[in-house]
Amino acid sequence: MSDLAPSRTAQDKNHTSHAPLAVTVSAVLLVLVVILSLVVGSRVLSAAEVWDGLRRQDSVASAVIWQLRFPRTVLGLLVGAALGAAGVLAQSVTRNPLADPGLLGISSGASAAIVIGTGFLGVGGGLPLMLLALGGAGLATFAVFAFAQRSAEGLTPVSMTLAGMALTACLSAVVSGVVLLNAQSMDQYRFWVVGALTAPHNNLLPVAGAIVLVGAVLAFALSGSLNALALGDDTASALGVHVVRTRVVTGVAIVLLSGVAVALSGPIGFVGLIIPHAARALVGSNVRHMLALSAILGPLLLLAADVIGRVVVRPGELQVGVVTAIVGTPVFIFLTRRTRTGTRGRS
Amino acid sequence: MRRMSFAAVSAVLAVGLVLSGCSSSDEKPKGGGGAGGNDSGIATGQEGFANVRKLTAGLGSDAEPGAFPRTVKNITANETIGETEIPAKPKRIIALDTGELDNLLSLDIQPIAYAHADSMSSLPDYLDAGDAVDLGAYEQLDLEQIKNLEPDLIIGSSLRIDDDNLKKKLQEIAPTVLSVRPGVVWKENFTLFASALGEEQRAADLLAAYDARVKQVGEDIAAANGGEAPTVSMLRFMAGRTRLYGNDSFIGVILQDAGIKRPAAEDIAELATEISPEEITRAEGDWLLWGTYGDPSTTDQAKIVDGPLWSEVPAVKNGGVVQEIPDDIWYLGLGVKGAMLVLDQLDEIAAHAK
Repeated sequence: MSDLAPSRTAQDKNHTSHAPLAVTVSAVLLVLVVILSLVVGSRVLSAAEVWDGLRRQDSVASAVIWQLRFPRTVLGLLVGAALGAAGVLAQSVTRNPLADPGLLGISSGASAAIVIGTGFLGVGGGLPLMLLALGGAGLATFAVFAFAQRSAEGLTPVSMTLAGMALTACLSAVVSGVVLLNAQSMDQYRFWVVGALTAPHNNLLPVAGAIVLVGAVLAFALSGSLNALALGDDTASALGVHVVRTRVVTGVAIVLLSGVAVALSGPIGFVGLIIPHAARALVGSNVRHMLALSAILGPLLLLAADVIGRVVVRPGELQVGVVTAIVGTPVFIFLTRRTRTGTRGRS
Repeated sequence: MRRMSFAAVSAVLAVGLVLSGCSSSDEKPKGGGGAGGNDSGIATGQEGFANVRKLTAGLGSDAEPGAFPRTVKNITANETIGETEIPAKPKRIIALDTGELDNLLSLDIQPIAYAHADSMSSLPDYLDAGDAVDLGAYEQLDLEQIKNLEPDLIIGSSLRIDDDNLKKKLQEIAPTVLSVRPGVVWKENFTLFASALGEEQRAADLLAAYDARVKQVGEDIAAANGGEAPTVSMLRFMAGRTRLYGNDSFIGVILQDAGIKRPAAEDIAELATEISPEEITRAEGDWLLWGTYGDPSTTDQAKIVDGPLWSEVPAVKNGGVVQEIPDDIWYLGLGVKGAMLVLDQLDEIAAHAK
């Protein structure tokens, strides 16, 4: 995997020239998928119904498109962009190409909060559950950073990864324990954990959007420092980057981005893992370029998976987390394969 | 060439994932509410579901009324009819599900213990089990506990006790009589268990009373609707799925007996059909009765009933009867006592609809 690790080489410069093209093509594809997401669903609408529904001429079709599918599409855009960007940050800050937001304890923190909340505190679905997940994600990430900070070598990629893995193992055990003992929280958890694009409440979307926006601004502001960090802590310090502060602020940005995503849609962790790789394969390892492209590729994958999930098991729906992994894996393998072949060819 | 084979491998991998995803989701219903626990266990796609009526017709006893010992034909292995010998009139009876509990209580027989669905935290209000021991979930029976209770008859269904080995072990503890499944054949099951108990005459009387009552309620409903029976949609919200119930269900049989027609989507020889929130307008009945299994927040209830399409559902749009009904009686009753309660409530709904 070492040739996947962020490192700026001649090849990357070559990639950089692809960045505008890659972003444009992905954006066009994203627009197409957004349209599909409005038009395709478990209820089959004829072309005429779709046309009338879009113009609000047909009450049923209009309700289906604008009140059921539109919020879901917006949620997909938001969650996909947040997870994609958070994945780039997580991989950059831990200098670990296998990192995703889950590695820093976000998914397991949110999962543990959800099962404990539903199992012992009697929290129902909706907003309380979302806040609980967000709180759990934040606490877990804070704990990971605190543990890593106190380790012998301080807040380094290795100590952060180890602390994240340890906490995740511990919290997963808690989750399994509660879920096995309590049928009620099992019901809540097993749907949440797969991940679905069903927001607890549509009026949460603007709030979530605002939080994601803050996270995104932070992420772009950090991208220069993260590029420097990729060269190693010493070099980064020499370049005037405050190493620890960068890591902590990156942690905050990751919690904001993926915490909201996980709270809204469950731990669709796979997006955060593969999208940064896809972006790196297309535009190289400049963090800023990767962030921009990941914020487009994330929702592209998520919405495409959601649309597929709506039609493959009609009249039921396959949850987006399941489809994302199934669709994403071959794409991921193809992309990383391409990168490696390319590298070999050039060297 | 290498890349080709690699792409082929990934494609195979992807297909494999899809298939494994499918097969595991198929297995869940078969398990009849197995490990998942949320399923009411009234499974669609259960193996042998098509044979339910044929198998059920072969069950029972031809002993003289009240005479013991007798042999009862019942399901002794998956889709297999065998014989269970009952030496004397049973006194210490264990019911392995709420339907069987309903049957016992209908006959004024107090069981010594009962089991129920994992997700059922308490019995339906109408079932008063008295001092009977709660065995917990039928998915996780404690055989030692059952043995220590020294039953002389165990009744249940093959769907719930879906492991042939477990069926055998129960037979070793006490004579065990299993029906094919609860639900669609609830009347036949009542007759079967009554034959194991030597109470065939009382069961016949109770079913006759049901027959008379269901005819009358059917007439009341037609009268309330201006002389012609309305079509009735039966909607149910469950964790992760929303169903419209068909003819081959407990409630489907009662509505058929009452001469009430079902809308096209529900007039099917199936337990139920699943719909998505976008398809809620497929509930096309003049009346719409809905229930929620378990915790409403795990279901799409709020999303649908408070959703944008609810006002487009025919019964809502046209001002028909739209009412929430208690899920544990209408969908979990599964016995003659539950059926009589459903009829009482239907009669009440009709009275208000006038």
